Amino acid sequence: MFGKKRKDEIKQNTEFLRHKLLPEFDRVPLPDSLRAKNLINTLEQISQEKIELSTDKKTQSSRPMVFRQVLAYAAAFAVVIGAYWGFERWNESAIDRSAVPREKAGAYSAPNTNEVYAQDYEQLRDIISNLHCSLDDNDMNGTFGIVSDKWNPGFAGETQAAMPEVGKNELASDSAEDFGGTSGTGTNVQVTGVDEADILKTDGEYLYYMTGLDNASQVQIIDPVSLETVSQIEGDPNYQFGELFVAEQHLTVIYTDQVFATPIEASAADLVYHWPSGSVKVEVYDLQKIEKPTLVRSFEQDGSYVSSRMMNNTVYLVTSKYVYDDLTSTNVQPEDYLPVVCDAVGDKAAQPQTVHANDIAILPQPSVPCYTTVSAIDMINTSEPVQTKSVLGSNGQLYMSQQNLYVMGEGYDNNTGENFTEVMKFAVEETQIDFTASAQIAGRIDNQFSADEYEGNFRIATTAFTNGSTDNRITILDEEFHTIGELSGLAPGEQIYSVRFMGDMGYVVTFKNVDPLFAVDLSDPANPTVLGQLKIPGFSEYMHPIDQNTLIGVGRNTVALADGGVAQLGLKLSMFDVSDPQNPRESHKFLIGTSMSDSQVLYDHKVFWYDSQKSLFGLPVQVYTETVLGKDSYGISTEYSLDFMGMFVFKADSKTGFTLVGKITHCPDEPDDFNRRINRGISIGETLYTVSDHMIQAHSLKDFSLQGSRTL
Amino acid sequence: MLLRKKRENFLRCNKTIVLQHLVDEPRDDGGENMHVDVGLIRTAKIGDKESFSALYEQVAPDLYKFALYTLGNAHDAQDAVSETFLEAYKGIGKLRDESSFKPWIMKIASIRCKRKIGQYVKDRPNIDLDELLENPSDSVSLEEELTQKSAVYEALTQLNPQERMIVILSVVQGYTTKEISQILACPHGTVSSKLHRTLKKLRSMLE
Repeated sequence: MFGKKRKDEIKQNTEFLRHKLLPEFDRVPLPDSLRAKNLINTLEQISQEKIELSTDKKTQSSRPMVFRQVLAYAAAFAVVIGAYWGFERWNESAIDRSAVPREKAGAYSAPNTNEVYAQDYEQLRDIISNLHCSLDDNDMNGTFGIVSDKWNPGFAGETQAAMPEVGKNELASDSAEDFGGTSGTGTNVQVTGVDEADILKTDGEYLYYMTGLDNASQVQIIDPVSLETVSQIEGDPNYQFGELFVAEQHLTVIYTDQVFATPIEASAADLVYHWPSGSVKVEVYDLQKIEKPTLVRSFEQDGSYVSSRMMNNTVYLVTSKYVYDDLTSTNVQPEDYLPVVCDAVGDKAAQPQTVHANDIAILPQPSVPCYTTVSAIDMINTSEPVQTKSVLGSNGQLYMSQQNLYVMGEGYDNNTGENFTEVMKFAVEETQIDFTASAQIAGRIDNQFSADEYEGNFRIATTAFTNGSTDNRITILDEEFHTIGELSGLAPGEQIYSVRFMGDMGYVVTFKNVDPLFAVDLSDPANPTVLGQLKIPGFSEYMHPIDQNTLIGVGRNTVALADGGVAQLGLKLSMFDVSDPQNPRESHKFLIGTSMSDSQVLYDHKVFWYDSQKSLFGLPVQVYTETVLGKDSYGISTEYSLDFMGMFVFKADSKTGFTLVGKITHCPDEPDDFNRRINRGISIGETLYTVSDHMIQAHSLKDFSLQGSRTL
Repeated sequence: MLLRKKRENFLRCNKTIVLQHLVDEPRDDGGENMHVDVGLIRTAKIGDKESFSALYEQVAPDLYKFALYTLGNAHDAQDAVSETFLEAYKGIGKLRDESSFKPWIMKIASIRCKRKIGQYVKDRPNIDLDELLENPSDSVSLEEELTQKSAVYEALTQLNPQERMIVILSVVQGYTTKEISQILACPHGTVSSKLHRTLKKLRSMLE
């Protein structure tokens, strides 16, 4: 079983490393400057401050929500206004916790659900404490971070293997329809009609670009004709990074990450117990006067950012909050173990509030002390209150269709030693969210493209790790989340690298040494069947359909080595012809650079720019060439040089394959200046705009001549 | 995406381990099973500097070592520890359980370290691998000792700061994965899985 084996391995490795590391550590002396007697002088000023602090009850508005006093009060009646529960301020020194009455909650039954909403906060607190008790040390319980470790490139290949000959494809590609999702805001999305947040957006009139330089987020609103910045939104300096949505003259800014190294610093001692994962902030700006965007709404939710979507002007924000505290200590505050939200509409000073117990569902088998919280925020009608629902027991990645929102968490069963995915389904209707069902599926997902909803059914592709090996499968659930169809045994021993569902068909790429592309027939949900497979070297990390019969795969080229391993080579574009699903073919391919070459598209589908009208797509790349210098006692010495960093623009045609039509770079002279790495491309009309941290450029889509350039 | 970008910069920035003279000194045994004088904590909580100093002295060596190996240079480690001292003094009134003083102050130290790392990412300095200054002990030959030490440091530079923190807390300072999860504010499953992977990686580098 994985659990025991891992435990033993950890124990053995720890022993081994202790012998190596401890002698070093033991010999490190404490510098004199860090002796208490020397540091104690700095305390003189502090004593004064400390006395003042203890009597100061004012909230400091310049700090993010986490440091305001959270208002808490338990009421004896249950009236639900909107989705959250109001609390009164309490005086820290006067509170008598034993006297706080339990809040009573009205009976709440959600439709079509086999899950339970919490009765009161005590229930949630007990569950969290119990989950902590069951977390055995060095056991593999719980939800993993979503860092994928399947990318294991081995070492650089020493020789280029001869590539197999590939035939040409005679099919016509006549459709200009975008088979990948369209958002209308310039972002490459998974589902048409469901927008995903991104750092670069357009509404056709202006470009909205979020830059993250100098520790503070900043949104620049750029005129596409002059490339001038028309106006700028200075972000909250307590936050960094972020994503945007734009709709109907409103701009939503999502701050996804709190920064701690800022002048307005939060005390680490405060952070120890409260919200170690910080909070996420959403600001909505009215753009009627484009030179002066006005803040009309500010919403905060605690936890770390999972993802977001926008549909019909409603933003759906998903965060996860892990409760690290086992709640056995004294002075536990409700906000320590409950999700907290804070909605400020217009100028109203907002009060953070814990989400009402009735809006917190509990999974039938909670695996981790973690909440997934979903809030629906109306971007246009800012008087519409935000609706929030939470689920205790898991967290994960987000997939949203036009009807439902799914959060998929990774879990590990300590008894069986197997991975599973906990899928939580929420029905969405404008700002109305209801947690409707959950299911456990064997295996783990790759990313959001591993899931899809079609004709009411939910399809999910997972890689299961069992008995020291892997198995890949597709599971189909109906609307009530019962399993109605299953396909397993797909490429045993390999892992899923990319998935694309297209209606009745599903395409799955797995990899270990070679890359099988599987074409799966999903037209009968009860009987998913593999129609055909294709084995080629290399693998695709992202697949993009350009018509009904053709998919582009973006990934890496590889070569099998004599010792059975695999060496990574450069980037690879594959064109898959799936017109005959029983015989999928790689009709064309294009190789870029050597093993060090990289593209952000491999990690983030939003970096991929595609213009279906013109059959063009753009790939930000870093192209390395390598020179073998010689052989010495250490082995073969190779020098890598970064020759190009920018965007390659291709024409994609199922007949002629890939044609490189343009190379755009913001750093022709210094290819290693990462400030000038092109992050995104967006097209408006006949112009392609590319942005890096440093500048924005405009190129003609006809001949790729430079039309304008400006430093940001 | 952003995660990867940060990782790239971590790996680029943290290639330096500059150590000051390593001189043998009487070992300060902070010990994980620190015997906490509850009375000391109570008086520290109400502002008594002497009591706080005594508590701090018990944990200071471990705080420093943790910061040094996480951040990779003595200067920043000293900053981080003196900041921790200040913050802990300011915030000790908020300590809930007297018995958890050490994990509590370790957590403050890890937050201060994270902030330093945040600054590295921001500043993106170009750092080269410097020479190590050593004072050899008598028992082992200089060459052997240097080789041994270089291997350890070299190996540690291959890890990112989070991995280093997890290894130090676990292997050197003996915290359980559950405690590490609380100190680093990282989900327990992530800690377990990273610990397993990182130990394996480190071992293969040092074998």
